[in-house]
Amino acid sequence: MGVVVDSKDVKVRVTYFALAREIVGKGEEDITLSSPANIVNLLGRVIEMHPSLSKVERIIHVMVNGRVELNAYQLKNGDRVSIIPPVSGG
Amino acid sequence: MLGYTGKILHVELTRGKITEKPLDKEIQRLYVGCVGLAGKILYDQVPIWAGPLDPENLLIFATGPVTGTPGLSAGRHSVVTKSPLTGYFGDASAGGFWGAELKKAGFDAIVLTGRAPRPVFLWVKDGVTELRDATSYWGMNVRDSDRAVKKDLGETNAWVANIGPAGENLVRFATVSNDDGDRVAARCGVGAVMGSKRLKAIAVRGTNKVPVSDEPAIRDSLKELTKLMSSDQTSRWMMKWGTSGAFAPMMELGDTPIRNWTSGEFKDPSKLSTPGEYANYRQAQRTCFSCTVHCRPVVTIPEGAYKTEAKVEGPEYETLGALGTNLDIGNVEQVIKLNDLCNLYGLDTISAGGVIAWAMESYERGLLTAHDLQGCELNFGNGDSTMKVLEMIAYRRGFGDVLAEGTRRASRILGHGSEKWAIEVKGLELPMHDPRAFQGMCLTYAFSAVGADHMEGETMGIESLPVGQESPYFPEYGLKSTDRLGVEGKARIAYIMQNVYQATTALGYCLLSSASGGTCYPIKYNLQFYKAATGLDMSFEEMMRVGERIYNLKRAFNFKHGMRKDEDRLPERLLKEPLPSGGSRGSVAHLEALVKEYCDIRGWDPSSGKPKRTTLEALQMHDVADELWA
Repeated sequence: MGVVVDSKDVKVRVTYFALAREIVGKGEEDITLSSPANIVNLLGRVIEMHPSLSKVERIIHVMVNGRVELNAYQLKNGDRVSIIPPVSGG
Repeated sequence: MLGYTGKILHVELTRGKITEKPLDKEIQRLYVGCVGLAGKILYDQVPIWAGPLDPENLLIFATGPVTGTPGLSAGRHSVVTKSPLTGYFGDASAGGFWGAELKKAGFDAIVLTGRAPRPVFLWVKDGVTELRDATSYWGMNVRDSDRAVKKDLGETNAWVANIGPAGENLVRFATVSNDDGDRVAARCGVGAVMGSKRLKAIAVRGTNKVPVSDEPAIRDSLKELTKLMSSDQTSRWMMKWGTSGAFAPMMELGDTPIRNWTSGEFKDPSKLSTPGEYANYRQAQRTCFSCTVHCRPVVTIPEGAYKTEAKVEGPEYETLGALGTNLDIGNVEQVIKLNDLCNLYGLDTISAGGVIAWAMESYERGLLTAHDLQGCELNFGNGDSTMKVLEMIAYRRGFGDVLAEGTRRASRILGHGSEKWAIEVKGLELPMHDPRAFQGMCLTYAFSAVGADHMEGETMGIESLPVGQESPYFPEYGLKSTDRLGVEGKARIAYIMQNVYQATTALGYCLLSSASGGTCYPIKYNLQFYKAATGLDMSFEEMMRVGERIYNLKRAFNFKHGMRKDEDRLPERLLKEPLPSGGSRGSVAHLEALVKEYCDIRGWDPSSGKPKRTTLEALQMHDVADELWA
């Protein structure tokens, strides 16, 4: 029996940077979200999948397709979401 | 006077005269150490008519009260002078072990004047000092001369600060290296001043312990802090990769310059990243005196066209940008080699990269040809040509003689509008953080006395937090993040971070491990270590006042030496050309919108740009106020 995918589901590519990548253990992955597919819910899903990220949740910067978007921004299929901790030094 | 030795070594090189003088208690109280201590001596003693490469300029190596004590990352020293690149206040900071060793050898600072009649090096061992002939080392690269000096002294445990061919040839962005050339006081051309004095090296050996007030208290705080940092994710990331671990996220944010600050996206950041291809060359991480962060990458290229010696120190974030992305070079072996060449020659990687980026753009616009560059085709991306040009710069051969003057002077010599793509402030080439990505950096670059130097006050650690979020590591700062591409709140962020950075440096700590946000190192430990070292209390507010005092001292020096406020600017490219792509696309640097609020916070006179008399007097800088407002 095949998996039934709700047509309202949205699949995004999430890329993890720096210590977020270290915590998650990989550089990127695809995540499917059901409606409402916004940044807040995506972040919630990411934390659900990788509970250790909750330690740095409040300092994570989220960008979509290389831009900063509001939390209510509606994600679309194929969007690229970057999870970036604060940067410093160098 | 615990923490300090209480002694400053004065070396007059023309006559070869060495004297010791006591550390002035008032200077120590107000300016503390490192850049502050050295800065006040420089302010008081360099005549306004002295050119940077004249014998009358001073070159000062200074430690802080915690340098050489067991507090975490307490190993720094500053090298301060009138800069040959800018003509204004020049300071560079370095880590490693040299500074701690100088302290153990019995001195808080060394003040050098004059010019030796022939090349010399200074040897300091447990309070005994002499000038020795360095003719046989003159011409050697940094690493070879470091090793040769130690071998000839028979002192394998000595630490050496020295210059390479670039310093000897008075390249205006030459460095003073230390610790086998692996640590560098890089910016402002301090190495050229050392070369102008015909001083090849300062070797130090100290077997004394730095006297402290309460060593058990230092060790208790150290144990507590080390445990805290080893369990903190941010700290562990820094310990694993050093600043190259910030390369990928900074690229993503559009912070790292590409192709002389014209592009917002790099072809393949993974080539220069860790994790990424760069990680394949990493063998270890080294550390500095009394530091558990181990941020220094150790690399080897064992064979091939870019072979290096075994276990050299590899490029950190700035160099990945300056000799990588900003030259559009994506070959990590080439960038590793370019970094190593700069270390051997004694060249600042940021300024070298900056002037070469300018030259590449000039070449691609047809103003320079391969004939001008001894056959080098200096297109963006050409790492092999870049290596040849670095050598030309270090030895001032052909057009390298022009490039050795720095981007500002080189663009004035070439002319034909090339000043438009000379990316510098006050003559100092910009580091690898784009103010179009972090607007707070507009103020650090435009207003810092030394020119564009990110280590005068980085704002990215706050600006890269989610909007409205306070730094979890530095609640004392009282700063919340605002939109990094906007202007709100940036004046205050820049003001606080600049003061923190000056004070942290003055105390003798490493900025990367303790103030930048690169680790979780809370400020209270800096102050605990300071108290345990010296027996003196210092509150966070007092620490900030020290920072503010030093920041204003440096600015006052500049006005004393002829600066006008129109030097507080940014390159037109950043003000007018939006980034076309990447994480900060569409953004320009909004300096104009920030100036008034910042100058008000700083207490500077709006028409002249000078610190107001009332500002200076509130900081107990009455002598400076009297001179500046005479």
